[in-house]
Amino acid sequence: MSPEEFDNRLKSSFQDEFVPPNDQLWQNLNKHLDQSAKKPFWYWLVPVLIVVTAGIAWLGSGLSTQHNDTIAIETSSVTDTTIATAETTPTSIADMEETESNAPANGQESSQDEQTTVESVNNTKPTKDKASNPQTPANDADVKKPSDSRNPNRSGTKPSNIGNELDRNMIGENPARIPSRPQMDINTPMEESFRLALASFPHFPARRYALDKGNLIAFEKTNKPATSNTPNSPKNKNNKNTADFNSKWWLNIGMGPQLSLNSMSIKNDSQEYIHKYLWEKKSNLTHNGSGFQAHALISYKFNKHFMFETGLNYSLRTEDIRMNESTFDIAARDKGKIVNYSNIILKVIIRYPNGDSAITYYNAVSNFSIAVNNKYHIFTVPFKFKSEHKLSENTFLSAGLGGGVSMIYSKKSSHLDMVRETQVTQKRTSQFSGSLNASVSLYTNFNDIGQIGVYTGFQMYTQPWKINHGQYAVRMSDLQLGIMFRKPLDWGKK
Amino acid sequence: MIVMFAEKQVIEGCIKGDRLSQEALYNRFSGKMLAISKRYLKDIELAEDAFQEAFIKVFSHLKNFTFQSSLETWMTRIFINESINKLRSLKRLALQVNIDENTRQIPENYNEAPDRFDSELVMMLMEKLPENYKIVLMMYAIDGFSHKEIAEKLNMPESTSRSSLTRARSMLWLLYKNEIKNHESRRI
Repeated sequence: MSPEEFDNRLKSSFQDEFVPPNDQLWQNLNKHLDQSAKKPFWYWLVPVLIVVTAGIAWLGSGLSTQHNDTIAIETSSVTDTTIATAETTPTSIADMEETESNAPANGQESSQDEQTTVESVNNTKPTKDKASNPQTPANDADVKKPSDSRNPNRSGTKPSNIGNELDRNMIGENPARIPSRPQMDINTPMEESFRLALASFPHFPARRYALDKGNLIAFEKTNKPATSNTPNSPKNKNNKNTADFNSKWWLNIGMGPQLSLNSMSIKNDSQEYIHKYLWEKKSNLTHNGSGFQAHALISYKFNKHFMFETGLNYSLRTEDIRMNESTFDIAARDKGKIVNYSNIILKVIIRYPNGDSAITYYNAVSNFSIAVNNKYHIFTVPFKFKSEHKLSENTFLSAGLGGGVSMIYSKKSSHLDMVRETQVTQKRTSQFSGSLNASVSLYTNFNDIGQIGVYTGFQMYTQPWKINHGQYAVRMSDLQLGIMFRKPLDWGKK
Repeated sequence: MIVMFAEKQVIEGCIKGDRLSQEALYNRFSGKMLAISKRYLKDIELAEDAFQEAFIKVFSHLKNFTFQSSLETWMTRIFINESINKLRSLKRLALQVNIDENTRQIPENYNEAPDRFDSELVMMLMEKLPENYKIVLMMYAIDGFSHKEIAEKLNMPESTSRSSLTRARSMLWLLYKNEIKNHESRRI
């Protein structure tokens, strides 16, 4: 006998080798498959949250920098106009007089001073600080320079008159008077210097004023100290493009995807324990779905940190809740009562005429489909109490808890009753339920018109959704994620 | 209700992540594959570890199955690879290479070989062989690997695979004959 023949005989001896696996092996494998099936959602959600959070934080810090620039330039505008308006405070008048006394000496260096003005305007932070405290010696120096440079040809007495005249015009109630005064003496050099300065700050809101109005009169409105212009207190409340961030009333809108979480409520199962699978692996019966959600809420701020929110929240579960399962565990009944379960595998051996044989396995399987083809619309009126905290100058974090009233509506749902082997279709079913919610939002000031950000929330419905006339019930909750926009409302104000 | 699971349908179901198909595949092949893992690893706990890891690989790589061979053949390869990896991690293969070099040649004479071996006896006798002899013999004679494939998987020259096979076959046959003789003498 050849070695090859020996090998063939050896091989045929092992053809039917079989070691029955321990049940635990499939349980372990099943658990692993469950985990790997769930991975994708969390794998993308976590990185997305991190990226979005980082983006918001970065955006917030970016806007914060822009605000600093804005403040600096506006400060310089106040500084410059202060000379013209000669604010009514004694200090300002004193400064003006001092300025006038220095005028002849500085007048000879007019062109150099004009350049100095532009540079000092671009030098953001120091300008702001100096403007806020006119009594500081350094501040005086900065205040003087622009006044000198503005009209180097003026005599020592002229600026004082012009200042007083402008002061009267600007403090006066009638803006119509302003264009009638001679502007060339003051505005031409000032405007030029500002345009030079503003070229360095493309996001400066005041640029719009200058372009709109065409001259520096626009800055008359900014007649309060620049230091009061924090990001939360807009610079110009009269401007339509800016919002009052100190408002008590806010509109909050948002939308995004959601994960619909479901679990089976066995207690409501009128055919309790009809299938072994049902009560042993009930988590396999109910599948989580995806969906869409949106909200429009009105917030009322009690104080700096706390607010109340209510409105309308809409959720659409766009994926059916699938509860079709099959099992190899065949229920063995005695007088309708399940007494045992069997796993039946049929092994069929077919012998061919040439001596070959083929083995085929047949698995006996039991199906049960509890509910299919479900789609729900959920309308909720939430009542939330939220706490808001400032993370940085422009970025805020808020967290809230609350309850609500929800209406769950289903246009059509089909259920296969495996006990009676009938299909039941329910149309236009609705159910009211209480709901509990929790949410976290991260948002940042956006271009002085509102706040944008991201939010995540969890909404749980207290009443299980009853299926097939109460045969089964599904406990439902939604994990929500989305983008939001908050806008202050001017309710309660004239 | 009785449902027949054709191989292609089961594979497609497994690729889609259908648990029923995965369970059907498991039920169909688990006994055979666990026997293979146990044949290579001897220890049942090690075999079960390799078996589970191999099944996870099967489910995750089924999409790469091209139907050029039978599913059983494709799965067998995966289970054997996993078992060999387990052996390698335990350094049992490397240890036995030295034994290989010190084993003497046994003359071949297979004329009295039976039509069908007692597989349990063969398995028991195989355990008496050096580990790498046993692995080469199982891979070549029982599982149908070529010497080139064996050499690649066990990281040895092809010539070593050939010589290991020759010696393993001879040793096994000698042990088998002796066992049968002893058994018959005990009966007499």
